[in-house]
Amino acid sequence: MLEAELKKISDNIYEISKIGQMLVPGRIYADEEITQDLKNDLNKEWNAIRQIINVASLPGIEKYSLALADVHPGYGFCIGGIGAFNLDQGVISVAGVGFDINCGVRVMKTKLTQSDIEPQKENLAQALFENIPAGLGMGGKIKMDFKQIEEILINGAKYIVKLGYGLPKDLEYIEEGGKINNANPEKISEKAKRRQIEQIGTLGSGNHYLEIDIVDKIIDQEAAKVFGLFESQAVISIHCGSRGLGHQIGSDYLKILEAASKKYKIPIRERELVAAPIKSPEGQDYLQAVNCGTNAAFANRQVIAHLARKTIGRVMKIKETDIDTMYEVGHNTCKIEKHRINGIIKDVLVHRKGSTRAFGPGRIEICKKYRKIGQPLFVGGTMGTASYILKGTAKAMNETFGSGVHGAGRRLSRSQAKKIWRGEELRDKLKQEGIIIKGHSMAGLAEEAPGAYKDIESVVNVMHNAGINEKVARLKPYIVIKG
Amino acid sequence: MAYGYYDHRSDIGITSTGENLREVFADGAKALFDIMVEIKTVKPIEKISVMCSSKDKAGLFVEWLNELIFQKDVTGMVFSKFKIEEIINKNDIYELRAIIWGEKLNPAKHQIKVEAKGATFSQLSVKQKQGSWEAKCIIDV
Repeated sequence: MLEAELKKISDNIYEISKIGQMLVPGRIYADEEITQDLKNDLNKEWNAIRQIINVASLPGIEKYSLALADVHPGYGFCIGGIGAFNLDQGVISVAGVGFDINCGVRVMKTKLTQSDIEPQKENLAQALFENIPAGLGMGGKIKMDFKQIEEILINGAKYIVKLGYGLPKDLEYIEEGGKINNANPEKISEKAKRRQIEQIGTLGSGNHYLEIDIVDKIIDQEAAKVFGLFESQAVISIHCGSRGLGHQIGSDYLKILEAASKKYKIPIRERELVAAPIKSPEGQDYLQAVNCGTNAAFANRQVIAHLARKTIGRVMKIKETDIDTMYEVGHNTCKIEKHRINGIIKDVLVHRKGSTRAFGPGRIEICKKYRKIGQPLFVGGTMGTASYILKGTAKAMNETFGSGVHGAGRRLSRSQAKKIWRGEELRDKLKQEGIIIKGHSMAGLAEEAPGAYKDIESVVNVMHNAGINEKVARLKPYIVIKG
Repeated sequence: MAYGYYDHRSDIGITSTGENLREVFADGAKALFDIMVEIKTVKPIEKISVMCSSKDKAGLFVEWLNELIFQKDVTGMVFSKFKIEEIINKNDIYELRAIIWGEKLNPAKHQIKVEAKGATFSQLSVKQKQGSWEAKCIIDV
């Protein structure tokens, strides 16, 4: 049993005091129920608190090893975990990004309302299902050669837009403008590139999706107006990442950083929690590789956005240019950002594993239109429950390195879910509630049953009440395309 | 020879047992593909040779499973028959050579389940137990 004490600091913040090799305390944004789940796991070998402690013990970590309300055990870092490291003594870790590099969510807004779509609902669902590549082994609709893949790795969504897929104005509303610099395709294996060739613009399976959601409730009128959201509006949500390429980069660099951990005498506390000094050649190589993965994910979502736009435009007889990107942000990332630490603004490398960047008002990185309000972020619900659009706050900049939650997190395992629910029954039940589900795998649907996930309301409430991520709008699922 | 699954919060745990390492690795591969498709519907029509290596047996199990996922990604095939030709230790590096059989994925025929994205090092073990061998690993799905 792990001897760690969770001390309540305020209604929504708990602290793990420094023990053992910890260089900073751990901090968790949670309520009593979430905390109880974490405590119940303490006697297990694999638990989130141990992972928070392990991250707090890595060289060069600043302020806190953090976890937000969607915390649960991950690979090395917990999900919902954040670790910021100074560039002099700090490290970069594969576990801090995860395998699905820059997995994230794009939201596009339409001028359509639920009643506009209702007569075409089934047609639209079927057309999206046929046109968005999803599920096991489903290759991309756009074929590219090796040279073009390298362009994607360097230029991300920017290259995709240049090819004519999507609109130039999309880029302004994507984190990093859809292209992160310092990406070097020479730092990733040929295997990774070969996987991307087959999977450009594919959703994948598991918890990834494309949804038409309806804005169910506006909570922050001012922010919603600036973001262009109104009640009853149809919006498109796309959740996917860097697919096999990201996984290959992760697997390749696990080996490289394992050797680096030994070389630089960084204790390996969990086999996936390997790390290299940011300044080291191995650390720099991984950063350049991970940036390639980040760009590949931007490109994948841009292709899917293009396919969705074309399909919706055709079925609903609207102009594709009337579908605007509201915002896109990743939740498996590591990036160099400026943050104020002990009164001094400095560059740090922020790992966000299952956590979204959520910058507060005024940050230069936020597109001009939203800069006064704060950056939008998305909390994906299940195929049967609400999702949320939140905004970043000044408090997030002070407390969480400008980070936010990304989802609800699982409550039941996949096999438990399959024992309780059957895919077909679930699909029929949700249809009665007005939600059309199109999935390539009925077993996959059962595994993703709404009841298998934690209550998204409590996750969002913790962050809202803590003043870190504030509620702007609640979305309800309407058409769901799953792998 | 046998394989099975165990519970994990967000992904899937696989186990396989056998009289020797070759059997354990072959059945681990079956466990992997049975996550993705109904493996008994996959005919062993085409064959591919694969190789991988690692500095320890457990690492080799992860490498092997990840190599199979790579082959699935780039060939568009799923596999159902696995013959491990040899696992040798050369200069403290374990090397595996195998032949795998399968066919192009056909959603109408193969009863698609969930895509396995990769094998992980979490709860990973390959060990000898009362004369037989057992391997365990979490598959990220």
